[in-house]
Amino acid sequence: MPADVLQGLVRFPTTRWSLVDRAGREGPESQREVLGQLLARYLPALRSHLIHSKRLQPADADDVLQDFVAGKVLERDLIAKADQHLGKFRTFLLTALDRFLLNRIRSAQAQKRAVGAAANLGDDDDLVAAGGRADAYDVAWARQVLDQAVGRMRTECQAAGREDVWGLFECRILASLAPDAAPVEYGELVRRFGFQSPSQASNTLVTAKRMYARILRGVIGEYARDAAEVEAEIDELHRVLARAG
Amino acid sequence: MTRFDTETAGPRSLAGLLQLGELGSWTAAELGPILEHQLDTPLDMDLGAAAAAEGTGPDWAGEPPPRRCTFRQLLLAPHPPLPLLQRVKQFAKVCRSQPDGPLPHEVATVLYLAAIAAARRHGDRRISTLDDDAWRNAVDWALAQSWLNAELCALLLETRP
Repeated sequence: MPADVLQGLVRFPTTRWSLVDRAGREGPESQREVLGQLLARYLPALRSHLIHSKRLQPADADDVLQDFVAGKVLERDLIAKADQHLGKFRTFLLTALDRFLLNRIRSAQAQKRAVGAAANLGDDDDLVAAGGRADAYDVAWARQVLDQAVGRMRTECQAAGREDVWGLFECRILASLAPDAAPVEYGELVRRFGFQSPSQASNTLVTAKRMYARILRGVIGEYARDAAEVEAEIDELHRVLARAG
Repeated sequence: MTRFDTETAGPRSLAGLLQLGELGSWTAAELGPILEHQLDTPLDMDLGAAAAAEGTGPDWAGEPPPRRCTFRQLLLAPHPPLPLLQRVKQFAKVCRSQPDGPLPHEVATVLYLAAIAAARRHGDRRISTLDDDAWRNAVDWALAQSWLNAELCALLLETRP
């Protein structure tokens, strides 16, 4: 096994927690840049949570997110309060967003009451209660992680000139997950990729699976703290997706 | 082939990407094509050039050995060299023992039995310790595989006690 591949198996890239730490400590210019990176990663999942779990209209979800980022994340220095010893940053952000949404609703209700409008607590409470399950958020997160892993797999294969590895991954693994599940058959694979023996085809398939597993762990390793947390996150995302399916 | 798209795939499909397991593995319908491909593979590709060169000895009974002998040519040769059959048997045995090995377990088993049969067919030479009962059971198992080709069926039948 080449040294760089071995290194890729044991080395984890800079964790997102280090980004969180930087975002909480550094000066305004650098802080905004780091925050931008963090938010780009988490906002799609937060938006999905607002739409699917909180039942907000997409435009309303965008408004809430915009206010959340401007008022809570940037002005009130939310990121600096994140503590990696208290759990996942993803959960921390979700909890903060839920509290922000609840306060926003209560504030809107207070304003209604102030002008004598009929209070409609019931509907708004339902809206908040609907978010008791964070599945939409976690499903969106898992989708994002897997999208990145598959994208990186394609990029790495292309960069290494291993179109056969990507091709087999796409034809056999991804195709078996497609709605009509029709992986390309062995004979066609031999024709398409010029495998000279079953050993060659099998080795390429095994290489594709191992490469993808390494890349997936690399993607998760960017926000998990250690190898054990990477494995736990894989199990948890799998549970979330299986439950949602 | 419908393309898989992480943005639109259902949660259950996405879950498959977190635990690949047997995903993408060869199916029962592909065992026949895999066996044929294996039989057409030159020996040196799987056994190495040095091992395949053992087939250039006198055991081809005066006939010139094929320039780049395939598994099929060896197994069906009138006088296949015994050391080479033993190499094939060993290769198949290793394949059988590896879950992620180069050959599906069933194809590796057929190759293993074919190497033994090729030795038995010519002068009843033995390269395995299987007794007649065990050999008969093994051959019967192989003959029951719908994807087994006619050439190997005939070879195995010839050596069935």
